[in-house]
Amino acid sequence: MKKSLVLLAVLLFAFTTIFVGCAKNEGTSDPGGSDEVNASLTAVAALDTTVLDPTLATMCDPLIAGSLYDTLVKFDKDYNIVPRLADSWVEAEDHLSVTFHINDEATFHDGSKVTAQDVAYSINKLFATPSGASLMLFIAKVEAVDDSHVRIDKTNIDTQLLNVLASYMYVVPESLASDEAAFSKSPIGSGPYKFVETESDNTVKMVVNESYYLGAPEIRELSVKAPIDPSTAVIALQTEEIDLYQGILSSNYAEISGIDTLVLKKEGGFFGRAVVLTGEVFANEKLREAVYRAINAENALAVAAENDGEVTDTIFPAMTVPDYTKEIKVNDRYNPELAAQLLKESGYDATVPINLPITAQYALDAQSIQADLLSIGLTLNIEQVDINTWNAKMLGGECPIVLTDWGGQTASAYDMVNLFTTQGDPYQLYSKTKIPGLDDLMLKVSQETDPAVRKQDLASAFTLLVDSHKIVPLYQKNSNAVISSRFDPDSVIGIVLMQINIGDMKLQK
Amino acid sequence: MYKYISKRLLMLIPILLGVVFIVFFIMSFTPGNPGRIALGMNAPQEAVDKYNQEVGYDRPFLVKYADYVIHAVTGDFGKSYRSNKPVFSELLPRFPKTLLIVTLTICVIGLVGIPLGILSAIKQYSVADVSVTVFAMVLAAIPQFWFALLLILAFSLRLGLLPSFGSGSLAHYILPVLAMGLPGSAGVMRMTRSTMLESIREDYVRTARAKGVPENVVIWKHALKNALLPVITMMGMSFGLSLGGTVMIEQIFGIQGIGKLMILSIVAKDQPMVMACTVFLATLFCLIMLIVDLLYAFIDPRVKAQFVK
Repeated sequence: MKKSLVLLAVLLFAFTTIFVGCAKNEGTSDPGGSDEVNASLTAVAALDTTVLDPTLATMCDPLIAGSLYDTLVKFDKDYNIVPRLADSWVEAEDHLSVTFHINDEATFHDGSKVTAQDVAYSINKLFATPSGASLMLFIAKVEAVDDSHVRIDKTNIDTQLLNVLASYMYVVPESLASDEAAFSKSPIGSGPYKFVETESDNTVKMVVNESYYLGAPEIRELSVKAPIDPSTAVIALQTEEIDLYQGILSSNYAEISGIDTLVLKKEGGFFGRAVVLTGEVFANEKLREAVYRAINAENALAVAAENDGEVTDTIFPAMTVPDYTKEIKVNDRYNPELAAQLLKESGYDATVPINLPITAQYALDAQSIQADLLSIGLTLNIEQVDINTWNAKMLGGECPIVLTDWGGQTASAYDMVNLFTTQGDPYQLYSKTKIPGLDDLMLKVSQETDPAVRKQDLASAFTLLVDSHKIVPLYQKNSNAVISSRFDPDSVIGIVLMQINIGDMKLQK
Repeated sequence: MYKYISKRLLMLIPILLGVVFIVFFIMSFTPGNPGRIALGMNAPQEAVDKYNQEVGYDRPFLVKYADYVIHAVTGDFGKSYRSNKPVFSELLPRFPKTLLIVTLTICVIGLVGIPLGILSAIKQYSVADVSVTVFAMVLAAIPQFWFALLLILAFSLRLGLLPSFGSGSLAHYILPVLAMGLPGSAGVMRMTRSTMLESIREDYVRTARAKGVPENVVIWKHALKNALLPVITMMGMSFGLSLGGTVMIEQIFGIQGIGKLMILSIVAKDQPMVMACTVFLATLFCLIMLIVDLLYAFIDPRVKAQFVK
């Protein structure tokens, strides 16, 4: 019997060893390891990346995709568009297409030249994937005019084409990427870093591309690790296991700010949190006014974001619609006394609670709003659900009050207003209760070809939207990144978009 | 014996069909549209409809279930909604990590729980017994995630001895295994204590002592062998619990195992991946329980005799 037990133990050990042996050893840096000033950087991805070909999925983390591959254009530190793979571009007179010239010096890591055909192939390939299909909202057609010129047709005149290209459209070599299996094992791009290997824990290792046409980056070696929890990341930053992490919790700010070897950088701008009033709440004008005036954005910022951001008085983030900052402004909104009076006049039975389905990320905002509304005598019934249930409730019209984040670099002014029209909101998420005149006005905008008239009409549409009191702006929360002080924090660009370009980062002088 | 093993393996079929049915039922009736999940809220409705048609989302539940089972029998568990890759091509590379965590956890549970349980029993009502009992109570009461964070703070941040996350070397597994194994050992400790107390009061132990058998032989050979049966069952159950525990531990320690994949897939309502993970873990659990039953035969001659018959 003893022999049998020993045999079993040996078998169990061998079984485990074989399976563990299947996993490659990694050799990550030990905590408290080498302190030498080096030019290597270890970052943590925001997305679990299992596909290294960015034209097969939009799930390839931007830290990886942006290092291995190039986009046609990129953002600078002020989020203006600057050249990358395309060194120049010309917009057509009708503003519906842009022709890009590919940098003559641009080559892939295997030395082959980047051509316009590669660009067209990459974008079309991304469109063919399930996750890339939604990008067809922005781009109608891509065509290589010749080897160095590619023309991209927009879906409409307002499409933020350059921002879309800077955000998602990475270029792969057509000749290699068509063999998906081989390409996923050793991907080749034209970006500032070359692929070395993917380790057993999904860490992607890269080295500098010495012959990068925009100049070799200062950081020589780059490791991008799979996502980890913010609480674990705060410790890993302190033990110097990682050098860059995006999205720590604001409750950890104090801890990080006291450490000399780390720099916390915060940015806000493209995204805003707001409340949208729909259904019965919007339909009853006095009730709508009451809710609109009762919500205290400062409370929400303090409670939900620990004051890590700014209260906003614009219905959309100003960076998203920079040409309409005046029109999107809301004045003299918060007035709880008036709100209480309007509620009484509304005839609404305040003992009947209003439903507020939310996902976990809005729990504290919901509590803040619940307190605000309770102070005027209105009860909110907060229902915390998972994202899929929430989506279903939205589609089923069960959300008279919606807490949402919106904005972003790819949304155009037209897209933002169109969300509230019948034609732009096929699921009737926000447009079930109509804003008088908005549908007609936006239909006119969609048919207008004169940019000046179009802009004027859009400005009127924004004014209609603001005056409808459908949107209650709350605040813009900061995005953040923690960086090792070995690197120049001013060179860290793209924090608000979670899209830091490592190739542009510099070492601290 | 072979007949018994075959019978048990055949029993796997209804068990797995039941597991698949329950999970499939829950996943099918929770809200969430695969096309919308895979393509995003901004995707055109036509693209969403096309995707849903391709994955057969709009078909009746029983048709979908039957179709899933038929495909699963032929080894086709579908493609992930998130990555569009066959589910097992993502799942299997993660298995060694999860298996290593669970196996090492079981080792820790056994190595800590059994000896301390024995000590507690043979020194009943002594300081050692009370200390072990308190130790077990404290370990059982500690939430695993909190214990995990405490271990990271102590061994990674303060002492700088171990990495705080990752899975590249064996050192990376020490903290996750301790975080799961030490709280898990509390139950085994208590179970070993109580079965040993029963065992050492049996007539055959008294007889062995009366015959002048040395005390350590009495304990290790006569008492422990009989006391181990329920403990082995509990260790088998611990294996199953540890498989479930990896979901949280892998998340905290950033380990790319099946647990983390499951969380990711549940959040994304990636039904094919959730199904594959569940079926895989359920099969593994059933096999482990079979091994536990077979172990009985090696330890208890009465059970072995049944097999021989």
